[in-house]
Amino acid sequence: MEQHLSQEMEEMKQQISLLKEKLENQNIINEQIFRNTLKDKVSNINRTALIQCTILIAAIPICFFNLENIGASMAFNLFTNIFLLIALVYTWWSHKGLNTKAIVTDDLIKTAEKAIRTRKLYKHWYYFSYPWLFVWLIWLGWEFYNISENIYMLIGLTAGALIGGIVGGTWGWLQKRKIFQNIDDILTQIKNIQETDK
Amino acid sequence: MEDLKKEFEELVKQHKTTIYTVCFMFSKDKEEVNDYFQETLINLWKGFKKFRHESSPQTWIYRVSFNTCISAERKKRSHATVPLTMDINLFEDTDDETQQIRRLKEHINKLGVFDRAIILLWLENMSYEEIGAIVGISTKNVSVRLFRIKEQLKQISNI
Repeated sequence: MEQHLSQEMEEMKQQISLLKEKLENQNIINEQIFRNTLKDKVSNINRTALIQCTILIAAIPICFFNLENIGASMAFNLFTNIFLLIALVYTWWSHKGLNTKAIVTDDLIKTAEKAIRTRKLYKHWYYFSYPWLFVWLIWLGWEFYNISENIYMLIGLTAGALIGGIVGGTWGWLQKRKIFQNIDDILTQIKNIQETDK
Repeated sequence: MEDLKKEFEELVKQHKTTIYTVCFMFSKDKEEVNDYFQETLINLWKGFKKFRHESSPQTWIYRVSFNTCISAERKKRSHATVPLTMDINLFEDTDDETQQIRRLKEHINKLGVFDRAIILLWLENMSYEEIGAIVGISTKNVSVRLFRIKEQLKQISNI
């Protein structure tokens, strides 16, 4: 324990004491928060995975029947649904290990490493999904061409798909870019802190 | 089960300041503190039944709070978060004490997440062994890092 604290450190200790004093007089927690805590079955970390998996499980039969109804080929239908199935399995696998048990038992570095693993797997997903999507979009255009009764229907279907794809893709890319920046930052810190330990 | 809930409630009320301090230091705004706080409570509850008192409750609460803040990403929750019951707003109040606290937060926020955790634990008068156990580094590394963190903070204060 240091005997001589610098002025800055003394000030910081005083400021932390100030913060604690202010907080001691506050209730902070009310009955409603406790009720929510005790009944919440899923934490934020796995909530994302659960929502994605639920959407994918629902999407598989919905896609299958809708594509069949509009007259798309069985090959395209299977191609689409195999992609959704792979996405489902990948989502489950990438969240494996990052759960509440890890958070309550692991130290900070271990928890951060697990969180980083999950986010890195999300990043790697794009190496697989982008080429698949590229092929899928071209094939979708071909299917639209075959099933459209006239040029207007074809334009309508294509425009709808393009707009949805551009808006969704741009938003998704922006979200992920921020996450990846955080990943890189924390990875650097872990490397730095572990090098000091050697 | 009722006894367990009462015990949990008692533990959390005893350490509410610790939980809030960590969430405050790791968050950007009032909403994020709210999110982190409630996420931490959920993780504490889920781990509470298996908590074996191998470490002190305070050490355990620090670990869960830090881990929750590090793992959490700012997301829109699927249901509205219940606001915390506070008369003060550490992000907006303009009294001298709150401004001092905000200055402290600004300085600490310039550090990396692990350095932030280390300095916060040190400011709470935790031993190097306890700090090392929570962060996952050796006692010697805590000592070395603390020296660097203090140098960094001195530079930040002088800017």
